Amino acid sequence: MSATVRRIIPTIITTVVAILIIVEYFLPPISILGEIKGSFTSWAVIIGAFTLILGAVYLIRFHGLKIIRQGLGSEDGIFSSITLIVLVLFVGVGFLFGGTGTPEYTLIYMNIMKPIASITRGICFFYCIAAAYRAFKLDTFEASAMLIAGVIYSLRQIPIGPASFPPIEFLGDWILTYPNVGATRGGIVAVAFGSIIIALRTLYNKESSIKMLAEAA
Amino acid sequence: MDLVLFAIMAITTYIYIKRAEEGKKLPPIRKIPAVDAMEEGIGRAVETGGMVHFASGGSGGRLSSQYLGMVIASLNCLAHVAKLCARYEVPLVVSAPSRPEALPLIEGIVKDSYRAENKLENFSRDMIRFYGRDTGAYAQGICGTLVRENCSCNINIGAWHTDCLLVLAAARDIGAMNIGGTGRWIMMYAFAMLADYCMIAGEIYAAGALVSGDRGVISGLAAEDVGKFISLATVLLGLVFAAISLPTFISFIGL
Repeated sequence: MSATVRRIIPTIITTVVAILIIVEYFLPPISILGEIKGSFTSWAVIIGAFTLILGAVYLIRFHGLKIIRQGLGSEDGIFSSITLIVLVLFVGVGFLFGGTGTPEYTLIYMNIMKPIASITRGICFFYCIAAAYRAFKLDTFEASAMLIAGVIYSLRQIPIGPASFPPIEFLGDWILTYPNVGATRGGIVAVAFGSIIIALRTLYNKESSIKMLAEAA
Repeated sequence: MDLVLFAIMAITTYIYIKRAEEGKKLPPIRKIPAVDAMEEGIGRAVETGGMVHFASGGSGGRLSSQYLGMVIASLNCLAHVAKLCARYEVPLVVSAPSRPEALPLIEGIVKDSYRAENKLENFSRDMIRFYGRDTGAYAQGICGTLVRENCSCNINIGAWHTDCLLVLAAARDIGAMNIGGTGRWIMMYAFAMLADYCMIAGEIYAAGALVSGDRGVISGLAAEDVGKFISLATVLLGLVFAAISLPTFISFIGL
């Protein structure tokens, strides 16, 4: 297959699929278009599942090579072997007992993954406090504005705030409803237009990363 | 109204791409400090002998939903970072997203970037790490990599969830330079607080276009601004007509 064909065929597929999805969104409901869109969505899920297998191959390869190169007794070797053992355990239990909804799978999930995930979320709290301390220093106008708004809203949320100073409730709600919503909508509109432009550039085959891959092919 | 706005955007983008291709003048584009900081961060990695880490977020590999734009913007930035790392021969580690649909694209882009710099021999699949589908595992895996492999510059651009907080904080704790941003409004606070160079909202798309160096891609930023001006004008018109009570117009524009 020539490079031109390899470049043109993906572009045609991208354009046709994108046009179909756009037409399906803007036109009144047409069953055939809905079915086509549903099929594309299913394909995306299937492709996603395959890439997960690819990810697992990367993981096994990386840790396997680490064990081979550094030995099972080294610090990295021990961590890598734990990773691989846990991977085999979860996949094995899933296959042997019939999926991820079984009591056996739930048992290992609740006793291995859940505590680790809870610890991770817990650490986030401390990082948030440390980061807020650094960000809210009264050294710039922006940081001062963030500090004042943050303190007012925090006081509004805890019972002692409204109890000792009732107007704090109104002030906190005002910050949340007006400046916060205004800024959020501005940000969301900016992000939405950025996404639209990237989609259109891809549709016109002008997106640089996609073009780069096509040209390399 | 949606269709009209979409048609305007499609036509404007096409016009600006054509103008760029014909070599005509494009509107001036302001510099984004975080884009310049990428080269600075990689230079810092050269000096300190550390590695450069790039990640596009737990959902930074999703090729569907509203995250796709962020994924493509992050891939553009990845291509730029990989080229710089290849040029300066700095170790690069790319953390594959926990939703890895874009994993083949990530590998292809890193490999092609090394090829473009004639340093293909320095490319290795070990540069791309996958930590599993769980975002907690993803964040912990990255934190471990940053600490064990002496990260000097941590670049996080893409679709991030709460995992970014851990990654950015871990990088900051080890003294790495943090550069990044996300299009997810709800997580921007983490970048604002923890990144040395932060990209706010649509800036990640602008960064993706700027680093590509392609006039056709950069021209999209001008088209994007046209859309923003239309939105702003619609809001202002809505305010005026709401003040003088024109319900028909207001319902037409969907306010």
